[in-house]
Amino acid sequence: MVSRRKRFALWWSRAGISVRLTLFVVCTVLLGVLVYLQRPLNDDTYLVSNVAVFALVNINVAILVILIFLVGRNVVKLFFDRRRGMLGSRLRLRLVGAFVGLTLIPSVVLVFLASGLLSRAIDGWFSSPAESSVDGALEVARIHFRNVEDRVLESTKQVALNIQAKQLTLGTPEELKQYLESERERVGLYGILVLGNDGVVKMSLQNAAAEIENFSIPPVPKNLSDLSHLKNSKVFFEETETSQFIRAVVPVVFLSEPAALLSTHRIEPELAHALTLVRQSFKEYEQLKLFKHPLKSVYILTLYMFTGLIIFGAIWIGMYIARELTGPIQRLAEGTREVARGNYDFHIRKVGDDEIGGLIESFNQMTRDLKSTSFQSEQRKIHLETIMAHLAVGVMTLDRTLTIRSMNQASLGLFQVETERAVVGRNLFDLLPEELQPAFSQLIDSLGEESSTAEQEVRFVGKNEQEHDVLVTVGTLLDPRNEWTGYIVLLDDITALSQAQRMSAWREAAKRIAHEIKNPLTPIRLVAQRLRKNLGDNTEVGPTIRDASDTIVENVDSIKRLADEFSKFARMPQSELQETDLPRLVSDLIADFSGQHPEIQFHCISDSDLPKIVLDREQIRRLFINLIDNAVDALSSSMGSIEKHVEVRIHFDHRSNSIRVELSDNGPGIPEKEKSRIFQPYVTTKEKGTGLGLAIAASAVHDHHGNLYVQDNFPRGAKFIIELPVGADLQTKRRLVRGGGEA
Amino acid sequence: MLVLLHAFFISLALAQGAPVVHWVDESKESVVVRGEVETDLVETCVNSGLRVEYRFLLRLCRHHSNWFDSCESVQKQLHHVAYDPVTRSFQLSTDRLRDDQPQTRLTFEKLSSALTALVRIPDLPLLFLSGNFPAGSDANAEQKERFLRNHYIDVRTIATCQGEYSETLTQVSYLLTLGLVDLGGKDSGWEDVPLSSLE
Repeated sequence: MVSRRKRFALWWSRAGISVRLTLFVVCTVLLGVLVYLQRPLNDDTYLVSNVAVFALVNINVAILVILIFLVGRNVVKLFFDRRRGMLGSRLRLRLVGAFVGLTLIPSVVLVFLASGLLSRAIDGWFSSPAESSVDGALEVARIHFRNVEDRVLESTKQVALNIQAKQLTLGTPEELKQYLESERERVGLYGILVLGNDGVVKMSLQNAAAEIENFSIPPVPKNLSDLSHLKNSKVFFEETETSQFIRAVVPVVFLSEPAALLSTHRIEPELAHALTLVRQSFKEYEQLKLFKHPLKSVYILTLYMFTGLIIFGAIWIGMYIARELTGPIQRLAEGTREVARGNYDFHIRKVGDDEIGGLIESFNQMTRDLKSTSFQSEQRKIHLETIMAHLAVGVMTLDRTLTIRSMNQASLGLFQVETERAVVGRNLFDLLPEELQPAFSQLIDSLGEESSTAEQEVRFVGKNEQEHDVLVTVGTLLDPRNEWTGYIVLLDDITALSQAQRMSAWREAAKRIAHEIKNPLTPIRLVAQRLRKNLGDNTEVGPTIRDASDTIVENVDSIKRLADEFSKFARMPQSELQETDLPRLVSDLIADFSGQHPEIQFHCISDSDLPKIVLDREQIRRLFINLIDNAVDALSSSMGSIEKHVEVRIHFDHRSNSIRVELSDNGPGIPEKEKSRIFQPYVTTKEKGTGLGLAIAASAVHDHHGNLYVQDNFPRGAKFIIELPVGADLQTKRRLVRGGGEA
Repeated sequence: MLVLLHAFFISLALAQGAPVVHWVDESKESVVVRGEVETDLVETCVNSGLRVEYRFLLRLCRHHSNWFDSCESVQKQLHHVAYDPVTRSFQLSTDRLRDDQPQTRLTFEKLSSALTALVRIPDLPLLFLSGNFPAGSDANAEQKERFLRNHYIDVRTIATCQGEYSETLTQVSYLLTLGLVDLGGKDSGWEDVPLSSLE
């Protein structure tokens, strides 16, 4: 179960730049809105949410610090990666450097220019002409205002004087009021109030237009409620929501009591508006002057902050893009290393559909192809190695300096080498027996431009100290560009073939000789018998004739026997194949010999579960008779106190699927130089031997597709080994014999 | 000058002392509330075309010995003073919120007079702060005494310098520094004044 954190990390790592950018923008906007909403504005309840602001400030500072830390950490990491020479670090550094350079230089220049411009622009707001015009406008407004004030005051004073004077002549308050109204109209005042000593309004007059124009004269100011201390006139300004007024208050005696005349003059709307504008302009200008430096600082700070943001952003984007570029490149490099190590299952996850993604896809495809090709090559190699290993012909490959590069099992067996590893890397002539070296030299030298192969039959003493006839073929090895790279040596063990050929030749010769010899033998025998018959009874020559004819007949018989043996050797046996219990056959023979030769200890040991074997009983029987006979003959001489033994061991060899019979004696053994020849016709160590027994035995074994060879027995004597394959098809041609020797 | 000005914006609260409250007269039905403000810096503010707003926040609270104190709703009174460059006078306007009285305006030729009026509520009826206050001639003296004994006034004053650029600067500074610098108003905080201790 993948944890949420890991799932989020996986999602974030897969999220594209658009997703991240969107998130960033949304968070920034939200943050800005949140910050703005926290700002306590001009609402009625001035609530300073200290906790919220504190938290917000801390979050903001934390975010800033985290950003600086992350960017700084990545930059430091980048430098360290570069120093360590990590793959892709240089490209990343260059990209980030390019981004930073591209943004830093113009940004810094822009910042300096903008801040200078800003500073000068703001300073320009307060230039002498600007200040002079503001001051001038204000002065004009003041002068005009003062003039109006003076006029209103003067008018009010005049009205006060006139009303005071008129009170002497006018009797009733109504007449006074009328006079006051006429005075009001004359001097152009909007309203006149007569205030008593206690601030009570005794008389009120105002312009009828006041009601029409929808404004009202302001009430009596509170500080005028007590007029008892009012000694001097005063004029003041008052403003309502709709209008501006100049009011004057002048002490007066009204109806014999101290009072005050409060006049109200409404400033014309146009003038009021103009005055308001002047006031506003002045205030704005003064505020601007006041905040000149803070404003400048804030604007420049804003500029610096955004520049910093741009630079940090550039670094971040540069790192991001560099990572996006070098990440796949690093993975590709790692991939090539893995593929070089033979790991064809390495797969790079494709990111994006751009050229990098295409490159990654190509790499993955290449890896898949390589894997397929490698598998096929491996299959072919195994196939080839299997063929080479099972090939009966020895194959060796050499380089141009005759150093062995490879040898198959057959060639190893020929030269009696355990493993290929023991000879690979050695020179060919270190391996070859002395007797073969001239032949190989000749073969190799004979290879020239015109001939690419050369062959020669050689004979040498190989495994089991037997002579081997080998057909050596040497050829040149070429590479796909047809350049010579070395040699290939084929070693075809034709010993069996040679033996068979010799055997066949001997058979043919034997057949002819037997035939030629036997022909005259009958007449000679008949003549000798006739002489004996006719002259045997003669007293003078009778005894001589009888002796002579007997001798002639005896020798003719002997020659006939010899000729018969030759015929037997020459004649291909008529096979009578049948399933045979070989151990039984052998043990019966052993029993016969044991009875005839009580002085020799005969032993027959066989495995209990030997399979039956199809063979020609008579041929095999003759074979074992020959071998046992030879063993008995070898033990016929005196051996002192040594007991004479003949032992037969029979067991099944699973590896070669054949029955192996070992017939050994503890006689004098066979000399080394004879071992290679004893299976050839007319080779015998016996005085009266024909030399054909072992040749016939070898022929019988070969006819059964088996092997027959001889070794020294331990501690003394000779051991004949017969290998008869089980299940061999004796009707087909002889199969290729494996490199003889022990199975 | 600039340093002082910046100091003003950031430490206005430091200049504000605790408000003082005392009875208007022996009837003990109205109080006079007087706050404090630094004259020189306010003068600079006003002369620079800015308007000084002095806000009074008042509430009447009852003390409970075994429970949390209970308070009435907060009442507010706003005072503004600004300089008129044309008339060369200081305009003071006062407005008690949530009552039926209109805004009053006064004009002063001297700033000191204007500032004195700015930081002062000359007559604040306790009935305005709490409808339960036993006021008038029908009021039981004992009830009144008990009321005065159990209640106290919470007073808070907030002074701000208002103007187009000051607000702009305040908001910009607040946003740009992500809330670190707040040039908004500074206040005195709530000050508890037991009614029984008033003079």
